[in-house]
Amino acid sequence: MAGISDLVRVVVCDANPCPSFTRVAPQHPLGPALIAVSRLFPLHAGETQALAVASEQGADLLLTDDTAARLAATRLGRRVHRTLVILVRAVRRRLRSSAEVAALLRTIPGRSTLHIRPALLDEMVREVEASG
Amino acid sequence: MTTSLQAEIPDQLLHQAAVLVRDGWAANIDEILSDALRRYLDSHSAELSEAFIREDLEWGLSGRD
Repeated sequence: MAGISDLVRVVVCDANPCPSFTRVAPQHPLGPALIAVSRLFPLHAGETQALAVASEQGADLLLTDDTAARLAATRLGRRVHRTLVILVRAVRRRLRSSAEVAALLRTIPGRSTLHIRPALLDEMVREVEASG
Repeated sequence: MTTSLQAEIPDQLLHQAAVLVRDGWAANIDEILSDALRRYLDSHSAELSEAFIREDLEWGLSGRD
């Protein structure tokens, strides 16, 4: 899956992407380096395709919540973060208030399939609140 | 020490594993399953996930883009 914003070219690897995102697939066969890395870590087909799309489109950023996919992307020289970082970034970009984002972060355990250790999530919430 | 477990896996995966054993690339299916699980756990460790989340938080709050 991929979504391209006006400001940065971002590829998002997500089984249930936002409806406004553009769904794309690789246009060319996978290269040998990507095939090797995807087998080494190992990656699912969707994660491998997201890496291929990021490469083909010269993406500035790849968003994935899979640790192995992140390791693979880093190995391939790709800049990569988790999807929830977009919420945190929205505070820095002044698109959302720190209180709004902190409230959204608190809903993650009940509203998403992202698994984060509760104490770490609390720490994130505190840091976001302190940044505002 | 080892533990026996029962799991359902796709036929195709089992077939591929059996071919590896038949051709001498692995001693048996148990070895392949243990190695696959070990690789998965290595690349999905809690410490690694936590380090990435902290890295992301720092970028989200203080990064430049």
